[in-house]
Amino acid sequence: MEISPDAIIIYQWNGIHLNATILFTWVVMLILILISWLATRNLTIGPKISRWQNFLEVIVGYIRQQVKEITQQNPDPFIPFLGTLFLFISVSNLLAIIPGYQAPTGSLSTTSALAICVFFAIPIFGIAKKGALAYFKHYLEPSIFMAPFNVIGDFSRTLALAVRLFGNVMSGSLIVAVLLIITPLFIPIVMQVLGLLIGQIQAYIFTVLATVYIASATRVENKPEQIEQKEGSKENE
Amino acid sequence: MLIDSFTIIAQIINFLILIYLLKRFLFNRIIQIMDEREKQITDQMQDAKTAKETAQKELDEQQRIREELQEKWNEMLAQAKKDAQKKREELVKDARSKIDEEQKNWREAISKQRTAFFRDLRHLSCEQVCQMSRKVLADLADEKLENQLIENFLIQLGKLSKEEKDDFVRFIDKDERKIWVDSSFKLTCKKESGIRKILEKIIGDKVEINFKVSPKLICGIETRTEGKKISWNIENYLDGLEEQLKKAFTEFSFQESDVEKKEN
Repeated sequence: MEISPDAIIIYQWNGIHLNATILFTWVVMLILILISWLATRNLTIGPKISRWQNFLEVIVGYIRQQVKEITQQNPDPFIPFLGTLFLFISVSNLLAIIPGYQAPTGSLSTTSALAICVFFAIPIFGIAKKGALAYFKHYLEPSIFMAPFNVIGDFSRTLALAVRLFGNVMSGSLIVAVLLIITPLFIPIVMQVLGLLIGQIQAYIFTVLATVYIASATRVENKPEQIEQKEGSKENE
Repeated sequence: MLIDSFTIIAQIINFLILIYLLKRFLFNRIIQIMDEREKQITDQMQDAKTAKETAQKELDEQQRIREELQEKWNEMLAQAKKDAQKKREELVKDARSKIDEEQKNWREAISKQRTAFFRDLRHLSCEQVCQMSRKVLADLADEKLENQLIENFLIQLGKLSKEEKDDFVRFIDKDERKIWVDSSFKLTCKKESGIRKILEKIIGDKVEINFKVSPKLICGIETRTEGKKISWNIENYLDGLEEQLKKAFTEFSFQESDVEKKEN
């Protein structure tokens, strides 16, 4: 039994090895892109819309609403990144119900990759929003002595993100595997259901935390009036 | 080994590709379509609001027009009632005047008829009175009365003026020289000779005198030439009486009709 799907090597060539993590990532990507492409081929704004369009509109609308509530800003610039993050983790965990499937999120490499993406996304959004000077200035707050701790905090939260998701997903599949040995009937199914729930919760937590980090980096501090004005102008446009 | 650097890099690349593809095929499209729908709904609501306002304005305008029409209608109705009343009064007045005229004409016709009736009645009664008198006198007449009348006639002849005598003589036919003497009873020879004497005295010459009995005279005598007549008989009296009566009645009728006209 493997703890990580990274260990399952499917194809190897010249130091490049195709493991189960990458393979199932492609599967998830393919499913997501296929559904998106099929559903958004014939979009209408009329009163009668297709079920798939309605479904995707509900999901995207919900993501937008959540991001807007957390960031208190116009959510549209963050939606592709945060939405993809949530959908990828969510679908990866959801497909765990299929026998033989190995969730890519059960690999520390995958969760680390996602955490690294978040780690770099935070300064990119922050600098794009506030400028480099204003962004790096917040490392010196409340005093210059706190700068090392701020840097450590950035790294540690990224590490926490990666390990939290990995630990939850990996433990879920591990518990099911262990229970299959102890009680092969009924109990593993219940744990499987619990695992699905935990997988969705983890997707939500990962995305919300990423949102909070990005929001804190892009927030214009102590000037809520400006935010409201900007939002108002954006809505008018 | 839990972490594989190649897998991390590969997953980062995978994730970035996924971001790009989902952004292109999902988020941009869905967000765009949602924004468009929101805009469309907002526009429709705005349009509906505008349409509602327009409809309200139109409704107010229609209400105003209807009120104006109602007011106008009321005015026209009042005017029509007034006109109808006026027309009615005129018609009643006209009818009354026509009735009055008809009544007047009718009264006049009645009055004329009455007048005519009374006139005819008077005329008839006058004639009846005269006729009755004539009959009574005819029944009463006799030779004695006639003799008295003849005596009187002879006296009257004697009293004739010269102009009257000449006038009588002038009408005697020069060739035939005839005079007619009519009496209601047969004259005695004495009377005839007396009459002859007096007439010859008047004429102054001999003439042929023809005596004749004429019951039409009732009682009395008359002498006549071709164009002149001298008489003394009851018929003359009665004729005179009839004339007088007719004259009196006619005057009375005129007075009465004048009074009636004044009454009307």
